[in-house]
This record gives sequence, C-alpha cells and structure tokens, in this order.
Amino acid sequence: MAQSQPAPRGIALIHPSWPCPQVQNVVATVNLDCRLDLLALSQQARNVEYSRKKFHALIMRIRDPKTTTLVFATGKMVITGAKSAELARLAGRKHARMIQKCGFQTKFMDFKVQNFVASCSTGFYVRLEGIVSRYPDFARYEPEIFPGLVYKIAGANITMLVFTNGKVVITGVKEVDKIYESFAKVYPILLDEKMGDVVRR
Amino acid sequence: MNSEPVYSELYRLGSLGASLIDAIDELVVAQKLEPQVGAQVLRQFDKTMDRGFVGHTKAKMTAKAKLRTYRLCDNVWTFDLRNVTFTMDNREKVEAKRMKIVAVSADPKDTSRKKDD
Repeated sequence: MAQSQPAPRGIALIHPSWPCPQVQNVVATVNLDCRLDLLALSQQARNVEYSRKKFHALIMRIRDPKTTTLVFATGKMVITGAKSAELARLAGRKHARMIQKCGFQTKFMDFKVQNFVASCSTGFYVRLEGIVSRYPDFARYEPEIFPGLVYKIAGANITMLVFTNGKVVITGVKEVDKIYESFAKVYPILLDEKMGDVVRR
Repeated sequence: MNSEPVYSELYRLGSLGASLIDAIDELVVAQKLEPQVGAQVLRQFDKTMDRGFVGHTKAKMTAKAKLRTYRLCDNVWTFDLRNVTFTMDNREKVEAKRMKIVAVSADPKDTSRKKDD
C-alpha cells in the first residue's frame, strides 16, 4: 500500500467481490425545543397513539418515509424505522411539521443518529465454534441461549451477530463508515470458517 | 365524592341507545318519569352494554378495508376506513365506501374507571 495515499475508509474497505452490508434500520433523536401537550396532539394529529398509563410518550407514524416516532412532552423525539440517515432526518422533519401544524413552535435541534442496524448474507455456511475457539476474547456463542454468535469489536461498542447460515447483523454503530469497517474486519474470519455454499433451490 | 365507576356513554349513540333515549325523553316530558330516574336508567344502560360484550357475545365478523388514519387517545380508538367489506358469520357481506369506527376496549382491565378531567 502506498504511504502517500490516505487509508481507505468506509465502504472502500469492502472488496468488490465481497457481499456488502445493507442498512436496515436507523434510530435517531431530535429536540423540538418546545414543551408539548401530548393530549392535545393526540386529538389533533392523525395516526397517533397515546395511552398515558402505558407509556409517557405519543407514538406517531408516517407512511413516507415509513417511520415511527416517539414524541415526549419535553419536545424530544425518537425516530425509528428509516432506511438511511438522510431518510431519518427527512422523516424527523415531516413529524416535526405535523406537530407544528397542531400549533406548537417547534425547532429542529441536535438531530443525531443514535444507532444503525445493517445486515448482510455471506452466502456460505459458517462454523461458529471455529470462530469462538480462535477469538475467545471477542466471540461468544451459546447455542442453548441464542443460535447466533455474538462478536463484539474490540474498543468500539459495536456488536455483530453471526449465524450458521452465513447471515450477519451489525448493530450499535453510530456512523455509517463503522459498519463497513467492522464487516471488513470480520469477513476474513468468516471466510476461514466457511463450511459450504448456501444453495437456493 | 362519587365512588361509582363511570362507564363509557358510547353505546347511547347506537340505534338501541337512541331509541332508549327517545323513550325516556317522551316519558319525562309527559311527566310520567322523573329526570333523575331517567338518567339512572341511562347509566344502567351504559353499564349493561359495557358488560354485555365481555363473555356474552360469540358472533364473529371480519373486515377488510384501507385504513386512512387511526388514533388512540385515552383508550378510545378512532379509525377512518375506505372501501370497507364486512363479512359476517353467515357469509353475508356488507360494504361501505367510507367508514368511521370509534371503539373502546372491552377488556375490563384496559378501561380506566376514572372520569377524565
């Protein structure tokens, strides 16, 4: 590798012949900076659920982007279900506009993605016991408790689930690049423990 | 302080409830019935209708429709449906272009027995 070039980041780490993780879910938070009357909101807005006794937040859903938002009386919102960070932001803005139309002076402050969930299919069977015996510090596999192997990347709070059928789930990531970096680290390990290709009939 | 639980007055809006209200009003106007007694009858009606759905009904009905909007506020569900098709127990079909359903949970655990401020 040439020293003058910057180290490849993010998706560039994934070799073109490798499978690429796809983002399945994004969880983000935003502050509307405005005290909200959830009861009034639940009566005016559409597609909302509010049961005070069950949970102290209003649940609002929109169709496009298909997302669900938890709205708290403090004006803070949690947006879930979006397929990308940009869609999460767009959804957040749409939810905020709905709340604004109900008569609240909303802002759109401190939008932050809290979690990305990505998944990927390697296409081959993986011998999970092999991974555990090689990397006991990072991998945990207890088939009686959960059929998937839990691989925690050293240092970061990132968790990867690896299953025998070769499917991988990456979660706990706050930046998109980290998804690809984590996968790039783990994929060679999976290749070492390859058992056979998954044949689709 | 009124310690008696208050039941939803939802069922007074149906044809059964409306007929009962008409009958009571007639009697009250003709001074054959005191208004307080009439009000007590309606409260009993609310209670009986509320209890009636739990364990006494067995008929089933399926509905297929496009849900435009939904809302849950204080245990009251409101649905706005389009192109509804109801299928009864006896395979009879009832259709409607637009429909609004206002529903309260029949589960006694769910219903809040306190009157809202």
